[in-house]
Amino acid sequence: MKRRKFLKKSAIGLGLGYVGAFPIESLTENQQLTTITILHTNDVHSRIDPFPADAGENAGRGGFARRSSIINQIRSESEHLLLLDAGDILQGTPYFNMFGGELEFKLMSRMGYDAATIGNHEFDAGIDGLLKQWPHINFPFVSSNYDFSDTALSGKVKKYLVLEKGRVKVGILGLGIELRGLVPESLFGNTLYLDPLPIANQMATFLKEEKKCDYIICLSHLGLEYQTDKVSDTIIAKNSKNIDLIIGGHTHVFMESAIFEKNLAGQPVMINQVGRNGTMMGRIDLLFEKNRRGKCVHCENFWV
Amino acid sequence: MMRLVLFAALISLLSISCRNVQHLARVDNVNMVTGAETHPYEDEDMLALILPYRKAMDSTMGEVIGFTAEEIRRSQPDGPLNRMVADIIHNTAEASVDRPVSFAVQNYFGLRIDALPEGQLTLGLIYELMPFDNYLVVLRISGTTVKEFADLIASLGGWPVSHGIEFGIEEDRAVDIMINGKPLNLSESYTLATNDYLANGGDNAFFLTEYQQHNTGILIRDALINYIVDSTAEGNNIGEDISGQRIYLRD
Repeated sequence: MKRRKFLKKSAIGLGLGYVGAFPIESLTENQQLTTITILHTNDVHSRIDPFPADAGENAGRGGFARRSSIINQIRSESEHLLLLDAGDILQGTPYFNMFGGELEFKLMSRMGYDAATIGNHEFDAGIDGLLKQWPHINFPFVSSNYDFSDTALSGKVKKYLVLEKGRVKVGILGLGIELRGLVPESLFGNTLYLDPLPIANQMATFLKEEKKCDYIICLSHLGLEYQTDKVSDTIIAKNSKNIDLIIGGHTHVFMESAIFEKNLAGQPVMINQVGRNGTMMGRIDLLFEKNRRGKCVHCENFWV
Repeated sequence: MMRLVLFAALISLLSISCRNVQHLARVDNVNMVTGAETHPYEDEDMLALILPYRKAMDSTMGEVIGFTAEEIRRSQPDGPLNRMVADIIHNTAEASVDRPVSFAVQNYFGLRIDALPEGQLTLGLIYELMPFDNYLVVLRISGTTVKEFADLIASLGGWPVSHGIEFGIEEDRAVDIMINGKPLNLSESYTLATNDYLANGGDNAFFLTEYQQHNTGILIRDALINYIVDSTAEGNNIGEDISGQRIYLRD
C-alpha cells in the first residue's frame, strides 16, 4: 500500500513516464484552485442608516441595509466568502445610546459576519454592557491579546479561529489597542492588555504550524501607523512572521487600496483599512493553487 | 545495502518535495465606496429589522432643537466647532460652580462628527457630536500642569480650548501660553473645566489624575443641548457668537 502511494507520487514527480498508468485526475487535483473573497469593515460606529443629505460628501453613503445588499450580491457570485470586522462596531449614533448595540449586533449576525475583533469602543457600556449584548451576537469575537479571564466575559472571546473554506484553512487572530489612557478603567475593569507583537507572532506560528493554516489573517484595532514608536499595523507587519494579511482599524484611514510591507522573512504582508462609518467596504480576492512546494502555475509576483 | 540507503533517501526526498501546499497565487483588492449612486439597492429584510428601532429613535432624537446660519466645522489646530464646544464647557462650569474658570479643554476626537450642518440641528445630531456620557468636572491645577497639558494638546495637533487660553504650537510644543490675557505663571494655580474622561487620565492626560475633581453632575452633552435650546429660545442662531482663534501654528 505504502509502495503504491510512493509510485503514484513519483510518477508525477518524475514526469511523463508513468502518466498512462494513472488517472489524469491525479494531475488536475494537484492544481486545484480555490478562490476566497474577503469583505471587511472597520469603525462602523453604530452608523445604522446612510448619512443624511446634509452630510457633505458622505451624503447617502453607508448604512447596514445597503451594505447587506452588496454583500448578498457578492456572496452569490463567490465560491467562498469571508466577512470580517476590525472593531469599533459601537458608539457614534443615538442607536447605541438608546439600544446599547443590540441593533448593530443583530444586523451583523443576519449579514453573516464570520468574525470581528474588539475595538476600544466595544467597552463603552462596560464589560457588563457588552456581555448583555451576547444573546444578539451569533459570530465569534477574536482577541488574542486581551485577557478577559478575570472579567464577566471570561470564556466568551476566542483567542484565535480556524475557518475552512474549501480546501483552504484560514487562521484568524485578533489584536486590540492599549486600553489604559484610552478607555476609562471603570469600563474595561479587569481586562488585561498584553503586548500585541509577541502575541501576534506566537499565535501566527501556532496557527501555521500546529493548526496547519494556509493563510493567516490578523484582525487589528491597533491603528495603521503613528509618528511615535507606538505599536501599529505597520510595526506588526514588519516584525512578524507567518501573517499574510492585516485588516486594520482605529485610525479611520480611508485607504485607496491595500499596501504591502515586508515581514522578517522578506515576505509580503498585506495591510488594508477602510476609513469609518461603513462608507467604504474592503474587498480582497485570494486565489489559491494546491500544488507541490516550489511549483505554482498561477502564481504572480506580489512585488511587481 | 548502499542501494537500499540511496533508495530510502530518494523516497523521503520525493515525499517531501511532492507534499502539496496551498500557494497564494493571486491577490486582488478594491476598496469600494458604498454610495447610493454605485449601489442603489438596500436589503429589504434589513430595512424591516431596522424600522422599529428607527421609529423609536426618531420619536425622541428627531426633535429640532436649534438652527445654524452656516456650517460649523471642527479642525486642527483650531476651528469654530472646537471653540464653540469649549466655550460652552467653560461657561456652563462657571455657572455651576459659581466662580471664575480660567479655561476649558475638550479632547479633539471627543467631537465625533466633522461639522454641524447649516440649518436644523436635531437632538440626535448632538448625540452624534457628543455620544459619550462624560461629565463636566472642575479641577484646580498648577501652572506647571497647565504647561504640561498645553504641550500634550500641541503634540496632538491642537484641541478645543475656551476663550480663557491662547497659545502657539512650535515643534509639537506649546509656546507663548496666555491665560486670560496674561502669560502663564508656572507657580500660580488655575481653574480648569474639562470632561471626566480627560480628568481620569484619558488620551494620556495622566498628569490630571493627581488632582481632586469637582464633578458638576452635568453631562457635557447636556451642557451642549441646554446651550442650543436656550440660544434658540432667545431667537439666536447657533454659533454666531463664536470668538476668534486660540491655538495657532508658529513657523
